[in-house]
Formats: sequence, structure tokens, C-alpha cells
Amino acid sequence: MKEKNNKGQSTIEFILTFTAAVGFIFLFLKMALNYTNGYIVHHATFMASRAYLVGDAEDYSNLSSGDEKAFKLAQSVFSKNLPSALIPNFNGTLKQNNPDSTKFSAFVGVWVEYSQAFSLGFVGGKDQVAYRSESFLGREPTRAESTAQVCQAIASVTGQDPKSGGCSMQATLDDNGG
Amino acid sequence: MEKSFNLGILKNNIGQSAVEYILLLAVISSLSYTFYNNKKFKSFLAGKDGMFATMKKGISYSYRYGVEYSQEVSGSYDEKMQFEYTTNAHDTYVKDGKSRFFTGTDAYPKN
Repeated sequence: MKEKNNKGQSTIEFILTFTAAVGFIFLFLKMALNYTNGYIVHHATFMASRAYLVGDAEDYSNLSSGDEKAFKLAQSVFSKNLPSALIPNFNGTLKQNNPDSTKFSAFVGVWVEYSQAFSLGFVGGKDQVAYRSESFLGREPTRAESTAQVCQAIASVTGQDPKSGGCSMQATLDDNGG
Repeated sequence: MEKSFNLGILKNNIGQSAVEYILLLAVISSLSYTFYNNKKFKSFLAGKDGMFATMKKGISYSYRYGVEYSQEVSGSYDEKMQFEYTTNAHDTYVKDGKSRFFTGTDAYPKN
């Protein structure tokens, strides 16, 4: 007959507590990973926003080409700061708040929305949590816009139509420092 | 006549801890089961306004706006998270009708 003893008691207690303990460990581990990923995405968005702030095109004739080029540059900077291997299954896409279409200039910049699972284990569930990273540094006037404004200023002195070569004449302009 | 019950078993304490363990386990298991199946406990943990749901909302909100998720925000949470820049009611930008950002009172003249 098998000897009666208390072997296995600690195993049973271990199994009972292990599941819950591991569940909580995975919950906090995943939350920590989410926070870390969040910081990385915030940094990438901020760097993209900096590029979007100053990005410009060489084409002076088209006023919108500067914004398009700036957004492409911002996307490129975002990708460099957030390589696909860094956050597996990252589902966010960089979007822009263009100065021409954004009602409040305070919100001109770039943002990205993505989602991550809340937890790995059964504690907390695997529901997706939505994150939106925003960086609104604005947009500097493009060279095309500056050219158009200078042309308009010259035309206002010479009295010629800026659309028909009104700024081709040399004129002295005074900057009021504003 | 044979003895139907061996009284010798009562004269030692072999198995006492096992019996106590089983009784304790039964009590703890039944208590845990009762708690786990309790509606209030379930809604506290996993309900629409449960602990984990509140944590998720708080994480999303503070990640976007950089300010703490509070009770006063919870009522307009969906509205806050669906904000698409059509007004100036961005919680980082404006609070109680006032903004910490500033600019000139008059727009700079275009010409």
C-alpha cells in the first residue's frame, strides 16, 4: 500500500496560484510593452512632424507641391524612426492635417492612430486599445508661397498684375519686421 | 462477532492535515466560485465600466491628450476620442474654455 504523506500539497497550491500569478505578470508585461511602443510611436510622430514643418519642394510654380513633398518627407522620417520590425503588426498610418484644409491652425501637423492588444493572457482580455499620437508643429510657408507673397508685394508697388509678370520689375521693398 | 468499526483509527492523528486541507480547499473553492460568478464582481472586473475597461479608456485618453483620465471626462469619452479637429476643443489645447497657448489678438495683415 502506498504510504500516506503530504507530498503533492505544494504542487496543488502552486498550480492554483500559478495561473492567476502568470496572468497578472503577462498583463503588466504587455502593458509595459504597450507603453514602450507608445513612446517610440510618439517619438517617430514628433520627428515626422518636424520634417513636415520644414519640408518643401523645388517647384516654385505650384503652391501645393511643397505640402505634398513635406508629407512624403514626413512619411519617410516616420518609417526611419519606426522600422516595421520594431513593433510587430503595427497597424498605424501617418496622416496629415494640411494647413489649407485644417480649420484651426493649432492642429496643423501629423498624427497616427493604431491599436494594440491590452493583454496577452486571460487576465484583462485581448481587446484592442486604440492609441492616437499627435504632433502639431505647424507648417512653415513654402518657397512657392513666399515667392507669391513677395511677387504680390512687388506688384503692389509697381501696380502691375502679379499673375501676368507683375513682379518681374525690380523694386525696393521695406520689411517692417513683423 | 467481528468488530464492524476499528476504533484504532481514532487513536492517532494520521490524515488529520489531509482532512483539514480538503475542508479548507472546499471552502476556498466555493468562495472563489461564488465571487467569480457574482454579477457585481464580473461587472467590476470586466463590465462596460469595469476596472479593465476603465484602464483601457484611461490609457487611450492620456496617451492622446497627455492629461489624466478623470471622472468628468468619462461622460464624454467617445466624443473626446472621436475628435477630428473641426473645433478647438482638444483637451491638450483648451481646458475650461481657456488655452495655455497664446497668439496675437489680431491676425497679421496679409498685405
